[in-house]
This record gives sequence, C-alpha cells and structure tokens, in this order.
Amino acid sequence: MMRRRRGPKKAPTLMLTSLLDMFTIILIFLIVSFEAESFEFKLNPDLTLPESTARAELRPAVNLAVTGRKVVVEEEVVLELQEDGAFRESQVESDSVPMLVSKLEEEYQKRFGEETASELSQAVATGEATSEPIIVVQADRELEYETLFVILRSAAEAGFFKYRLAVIRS
Amino acid sequence: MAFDRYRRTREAVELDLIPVMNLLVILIPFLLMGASFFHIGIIPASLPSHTVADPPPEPPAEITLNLVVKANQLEFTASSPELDEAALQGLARSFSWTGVSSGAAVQQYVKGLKRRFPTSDTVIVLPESDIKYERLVQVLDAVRDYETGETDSDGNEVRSELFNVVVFSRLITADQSQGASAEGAASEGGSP
Repeated sequence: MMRRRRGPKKAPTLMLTSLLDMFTIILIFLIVSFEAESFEFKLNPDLTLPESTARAELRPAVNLAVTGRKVVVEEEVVLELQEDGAFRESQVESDSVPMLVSKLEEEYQKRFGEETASELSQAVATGEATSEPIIVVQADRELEYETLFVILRSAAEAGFFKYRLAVIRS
Repeated sequence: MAFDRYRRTREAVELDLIPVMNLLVILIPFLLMGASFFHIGIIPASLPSHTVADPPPEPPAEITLNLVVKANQLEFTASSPELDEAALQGLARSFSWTGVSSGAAVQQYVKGLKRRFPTSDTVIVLPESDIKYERLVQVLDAVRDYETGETDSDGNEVRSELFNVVVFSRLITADQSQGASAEGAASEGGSP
C-alpha cells in the first residue's frame, strides 16, 4: 500500500492568539485601575491602615507615619517608640514631643515660611493661597490613642492644626 | 486546481501579531507601575484650639456632641448654650460596642440627633488612652456619615453627612482631674 505523499513540511509557528487574548484582558484591567494621582502618596510599608467608609480625597500635605515602632516625617525617621508603641517618658514633655515638634516646625518653615496658620487659612478662604498647614497622619491600626493624641498635640504646637487621618477605603 | 489557488491565497493573509505582542509587553509593566490596588481615603480631624491669634470662633452650632469611647462602651452627651440642662440630659445615651455591627444602632441615634439639630456637625471625641486606632476609625464611621442607598451619576454611593467635624481631645477622668487643670476638652471645641 502506498503512503500518501504529503507536501513540503511547514516551519512550525507559535499560536499567539490566546496569549494576545490574555494580554488584552490584563491591559483592560490595568487601564481601569490606573489612577493618575495629582501628587505622590507613599504608603509606609511598615504599617497597616484601618479600613473606613470615608470618601474624602487626599490632598498634598506633610506626611507623618506612625508605625508600631517609629515616627516618620516625610520619610525621615524622627523617633523610635517603645515595643508597645508608646513614647518613652523622656521623649514627652507636657503632652508633646520636642523632637517631633522641631522637625515639624522645620517642615512648616520650608513650606509656609513665616506666615501663621490662621493667616494661611484666611488666605485660602479668600483664594490668595492654595495650601494651608495640614498633616496627613498614617497610623497603624493597632496604635493606641494616647500615642496618636501626643502626636497630634506636637503637630499643633508646630503650627499644623488640621489633620487628615489616612485610611483604606472599604 | 482552482481550490489549490484559493488555499494559497488564504494562507498569505495570516496576521503578524508579534509587533502587537511587543507593544503589550512594554505597555503592561508601565501600567502595572501606575496601577493602584487600594484607594486611600481621609478623615478630617482637629484638636481644640488654644491659640490667641486664631480668628474668633464661628457662631455656636445648636449642639456639640461629646463622645466618650471606652473599651466596650460609647457614651454620648451633648452640650449647647441654647438648651437647658434637662434637655441636654435627655439627649445623652450609652451604647455597648462589640464591633462594627454595633454601628447601626449608634448611627440610628446620631441620625435622630441630626434630624433634630440639622445645623450641628461637630463631635468631640474623647477616647480612653488605650483605645486602638482601628476601633476609633470604626466608631467615627458610624458618627460621621451614612449611606443613603442612592448612587450618583458615576455609580458611586451617596453618603449623607452627620457629625463630620471631628475634634479629638483627651478624656479626663475624675481621679486625673483632681489637682490637674482641665484640658478644655468639651468646653473648647475648636474649629476644624
């Protein structure tokens, strides 16, 4: 019996269609989840933010992060906390932390110069200025209120009277 | 013969997908870098203001809600220059708090207050010192706003505000207050 003769053997080609389908789906997903932020917000990797129903949007502000062991201002470690996340007694003076106050005062000077917080608030209200002293606080969800309160008091002493508590939108 | 010619013509129209693949391989890492896999929100807050240079406070709201956050309990009281002591005591209430599920009852109560005093928006929060931040955020979620059940044109859920001006202060217990000057928590609610 004669075997049927086949034509010249073709070079094998890759089937790219299914791969292309997969890439198209990934591309669509990424385009949907792509969010162009008006400024860069760096979430501190050492903390877990609590979830909240809050919907207010983030605005550019001084970034202060409180992990379980450190207080970080604009990516610079300012203070080390105790193992339980509390301040050492030597660090606190009448409900504020002098080291943190001086670092925040430095940030305030850098951004707003000699203008006071109330002058800036008035200027924002009249449209003469676009930003006022606001601090975005990233705090670990296990942080105790005592530590948070001392941090907020220190920020107030440095001229930051408004706070934005960062949370993960649920 | 005609069939063979037809087959040859069809084979010649195969699409070359490799340039498209190249494009996608470049585009995907770029989009991956810019993708956000979680959304950050914020809770605006403030402390009672003590500075003399501050502008004069705004006219007082009808009531200011005071919220004491304890380990397993929330205590609400109200203060107002416009209401007498008996009326204010009638507004006070306590709730046991076991978790997010307790928020519904709290929200009902706060909604009732908001209906009676629609211009009021300030809550002074006085947590015990060992209250965890996550717990505080859960409590604030119940007090600040609520879901109306409606959606806007973009498909986002519409939330209606309750007491959304949050002022943090420190809880002064009876033993602490002896000999120590009051920290001005409830009486000095600062503007946000």
